[in-house]
Amino acid sequence: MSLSSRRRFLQGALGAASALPLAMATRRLASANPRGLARRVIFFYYPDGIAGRSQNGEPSLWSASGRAPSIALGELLSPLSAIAGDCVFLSGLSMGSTDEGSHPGGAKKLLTAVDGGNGESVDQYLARTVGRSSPFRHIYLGAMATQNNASGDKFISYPSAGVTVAPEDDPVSAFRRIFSGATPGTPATSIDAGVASSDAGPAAPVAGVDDGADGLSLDTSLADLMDLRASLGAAERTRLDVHLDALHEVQDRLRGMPPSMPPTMADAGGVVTVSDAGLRPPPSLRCDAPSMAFDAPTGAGLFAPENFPAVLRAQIDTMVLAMACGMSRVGVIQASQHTSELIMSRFRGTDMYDPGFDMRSHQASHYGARQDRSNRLFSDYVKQVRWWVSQFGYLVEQLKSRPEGDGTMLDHSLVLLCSEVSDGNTHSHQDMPFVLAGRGGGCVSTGRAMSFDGRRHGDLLATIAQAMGASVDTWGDAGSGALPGLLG
Amino acid sequence: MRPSAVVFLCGLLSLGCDSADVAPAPPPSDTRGPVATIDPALRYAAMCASCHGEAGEGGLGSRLVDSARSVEQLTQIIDERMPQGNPGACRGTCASSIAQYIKSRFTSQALSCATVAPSVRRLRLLTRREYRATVRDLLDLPAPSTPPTTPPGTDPSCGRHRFVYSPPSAARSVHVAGSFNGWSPTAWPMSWVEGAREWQAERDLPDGTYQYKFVVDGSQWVSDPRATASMPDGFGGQNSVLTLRCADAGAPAPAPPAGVDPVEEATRSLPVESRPQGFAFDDNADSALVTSVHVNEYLRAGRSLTAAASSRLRAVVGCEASADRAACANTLVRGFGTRVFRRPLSAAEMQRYGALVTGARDVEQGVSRAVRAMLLSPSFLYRSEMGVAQPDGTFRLTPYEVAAALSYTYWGSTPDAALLAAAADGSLSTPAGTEREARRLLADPRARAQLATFALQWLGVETVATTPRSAAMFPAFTDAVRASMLEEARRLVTSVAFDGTHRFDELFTTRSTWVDATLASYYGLDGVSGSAFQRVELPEARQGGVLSLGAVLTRYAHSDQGSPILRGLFVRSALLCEEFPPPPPNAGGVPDVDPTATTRERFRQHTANPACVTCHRYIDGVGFGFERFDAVGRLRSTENGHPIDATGTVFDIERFGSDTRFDYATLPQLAGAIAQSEAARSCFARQYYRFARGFRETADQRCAVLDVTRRFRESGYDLRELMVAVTLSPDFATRRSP
Repeated sequence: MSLSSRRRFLQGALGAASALPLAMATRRLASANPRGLARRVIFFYYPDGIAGRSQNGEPSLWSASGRAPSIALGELLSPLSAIAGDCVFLSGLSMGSTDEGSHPGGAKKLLTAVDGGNGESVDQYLARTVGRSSPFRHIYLGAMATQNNASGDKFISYPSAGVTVAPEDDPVSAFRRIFSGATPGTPATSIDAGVASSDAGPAAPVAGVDDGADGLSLDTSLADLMDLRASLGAAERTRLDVHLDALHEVQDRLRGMPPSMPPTMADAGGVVTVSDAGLRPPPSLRCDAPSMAFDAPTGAGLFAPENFPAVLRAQIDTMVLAMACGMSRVGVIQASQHTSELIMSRFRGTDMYDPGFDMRSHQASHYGARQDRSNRLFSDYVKQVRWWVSQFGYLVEQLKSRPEGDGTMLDHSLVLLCSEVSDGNTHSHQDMPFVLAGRGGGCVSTGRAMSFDGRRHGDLLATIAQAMGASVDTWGDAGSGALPGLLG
Repeated sequence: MRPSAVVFLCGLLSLGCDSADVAPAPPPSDTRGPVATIDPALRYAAMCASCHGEAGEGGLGSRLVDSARSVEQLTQIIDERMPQGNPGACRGTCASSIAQYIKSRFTSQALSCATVAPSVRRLRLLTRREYRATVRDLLDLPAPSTPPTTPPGTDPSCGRHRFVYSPPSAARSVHVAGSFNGWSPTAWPMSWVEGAREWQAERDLPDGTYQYKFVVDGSQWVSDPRATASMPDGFGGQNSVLTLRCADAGAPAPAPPAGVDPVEEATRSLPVESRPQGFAFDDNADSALVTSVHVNEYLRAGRSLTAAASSRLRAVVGCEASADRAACANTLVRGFGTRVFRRPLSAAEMQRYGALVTGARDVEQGVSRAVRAMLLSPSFLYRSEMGVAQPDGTFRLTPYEVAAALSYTYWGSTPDAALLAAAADGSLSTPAGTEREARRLLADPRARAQLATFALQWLGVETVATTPRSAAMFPAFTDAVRASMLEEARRLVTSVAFDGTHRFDELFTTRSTWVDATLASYYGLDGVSGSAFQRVELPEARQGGVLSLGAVLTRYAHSDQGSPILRGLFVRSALLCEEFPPPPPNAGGVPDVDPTATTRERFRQHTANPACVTCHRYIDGVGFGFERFDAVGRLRSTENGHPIDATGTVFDIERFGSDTRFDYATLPQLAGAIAQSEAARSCFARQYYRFARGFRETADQRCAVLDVTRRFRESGYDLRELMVAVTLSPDFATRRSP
């Protein structure tokens, strides 16, 4: 397909060859632990916090109490009322006092639970431990998260202490990378010979394509890297560990499995289709030839605020599709970036829409000392947070709509909603807004509000890690172990 | 096996689990310690140095050199009271690590610069721009020729095109989307021209062939009924095709159609660099990690690039005449291999890459395999600044590492044959030889482009291409204007450095700038036509050098209003190298747009409120000097009916605590003060040092930076001499282990 329309139909060409690592991955997992673990975790981040406890002491609008089916949700969480029974609403968790009052300070602690981001983030840890046998150990998708050459402290994923990586902001690139596997009929040695944006379906084998070359390149690159490591001191060597892991991951993916294994999971869910009208075709997901359509633009259009909802939607759908097809167990979706300049009043079809006025996320978050409904900053901020929450709700609903085993994908998943500060005006790092959705394979009993006053949010991350099967007792600074009662 | 039996491992939902059930999961196969703990030196530099001095020499804050306080006492002070204005930002281990750092490093001996400390040896991952430039050079895939520039005086319609559309029924909006703007349905709005009863948009377009459609009411894609050519759009419809060629017989050949540059195409999805907070440049070595996404994209790029170069790949690697694989392998690893790795290959590497050629089906396949493999090698992807061990325990860069450091500093690309030859014959082992090569590289046109890259990153303006601005308020601020503003910034800096006085102060005191017809008409300047950039004298109100660049004014603004805060912070941080803590909690955001007040009036609370004034007396008094410019870089004389007040005061321009004030009435006066400021000059040297070296300097580099600054000063603040000075600095070729 040429770039002739903004609507792009992406079609992967996983074929028999690339469906195989998936089967391999699930087998390994199954043997690792037969019951009671989350199959996957997705961290869903959005910027600039919530209308929490105000400077003047008014109570937080982010509140939940009771148990499903009579769970009571405050104004900011009410977009989740339809799926409240699938969520645990956590309150009272603290990120500590270091850098309190700072957006970047909060973003650094959010998934590392270490002051200053001076530690690996839990998503990266899970990716390289319990997630390492997946074709993609880690999938990090963004929506306008790299806008304005965002400095590294805007990103929440830390492969190593103090160092972030940038998410993939382009849904087309993300989809291509994940799903454009070897084309049917060619050996499983070329990871994306099939070009994603092809309207002719799986690309035919291209004349002159050398299927062995990628594997050979990886072999020589590994040999060179081992030579290089040998010349380094121990402290320098660890720096290249991420690189080494990366080469191994791609090599594993490329090697795949013998072509006699049948494609699987044809019955796992529906084709992911995005449209503003919300129309979606009947479920017919085929992981051997996944496809997706979305209205996301490319190039500079990826950073136009009016396109943000479509871009985010496409990234959520890509993530769900990747997870449904077993491509990964660990995902991070980063919507925008802290202290966001995203002009949310340009989102058409929402209650925030106002073509005559630019209301930015960070601007609205500084609504003042009081919860004043007549103050436009405050009233827009409430709308904005509700919109973010509804996007998380969409992600959860997508997982819930896909059958998996004797339940749905959501039954086997954990999805965490998070932001880098609590109240957006005071930049508080206390009583952080977290919602955990999904039953984690039976680990988590949902439909509850739970309060953990005085506990650190690293304890929540440790709990999630345990639910994924990782052997961690605590996570980050000042952790004291898994949150009591959250699992089981 | 049925998927349901294999895939769903979590068992019955009713099983539940507790932590004991979960525990038996396999332990992590490896445990990764912190790769780089956050350096207290970096924390000090970012949080403390602006008041206490870079090496603790004191300033607004107390002197820390040879402090009589104990580590415990310092820790307590930091923990409870620091930094000023944001206590609590550094507690616990943060406070104690900085206290230890201060006690161990800040001595009067270190302050004396008797010895210059080497920096840490590093591997520097190629940035995306370096990767692209390098593969262009290696594989002979030059950038598509820049759009032909029309000399002044020729047909003004040359290089421009007017799109016209008459919808069959009334439309609310029409945009033109095509290969020239990434098919953005919103980027290029058309305007309704009542007299002509049609929608129009006029755009600068270089010669070439484009596909496009009109987007009606944001959703309906229609082809242009007046187009003379069309082609299938892949959906059963037709894209309109536009071919532009200036009538001039002497005009250069048309540029290739947009989107066919194979290098751009192959590298489009390489991950964005992660820039540390406060580091303006894309080449920070310590934050560059190779993830599996990188590996994926490097493989893809290697595949596409070798395919794009396939017709001449054998010639590129020197195997044009080699009939047999062994001969080709031998040639390739010695010649082309040296260029890719920027050094001769080791015996093991020759064997490794030679085997790819000899083991292939034929020479063709062997060459392609070897090139693809080399493009994935760490020896290509990282440029090494590891050096070799010296008797005194330091490391010294090899001549080949020096060659790469020179070429990437001045060209942003790989060494040429002459530079590799200079490495081989030992000329780069001496400072004189290094300087000779540095000057040769600086005389090449590529040095201009590289300085332009530095300039855009230093000024922080690269994002002007996409940063959103209110279309309702600023309809004239088009994509063409954005692009021209960036070119204006490039031209201004490079023309001063290479064509003008070469002096730093001219960056601020010049009375002229560079514009094309688009920008001239946007700025309201007369007498410029065509798409060629030309130097124009500016009216006094628009003067100010880099301060009054359209890109700078636009970058430091919000979508709907200029921002004296962002502009003041830009001057204090990018131009004076001062760092400010983030605003405290409860600071409040940008005051609302008030249709009855000026921006300046709205921000008055900053200087009225004692909690704000600590920092904002330094920021606002500078930022107000830009008030004659709106959020998109246009002059204004009134705001909401009130006259503009663009006077201001700069406190402590040389250093916090220096207790000086400078009152100015106009932006050119403010610019003049910066031009003459020691702080601004040494800050510029520091910024260039960061860009050239790929790390944020700490107290350890204080003496090296002082040395660079001294050379800069002795040259009369000559920008080219500063560029040379960075490679003459005593720490250029020495390193230490971490």
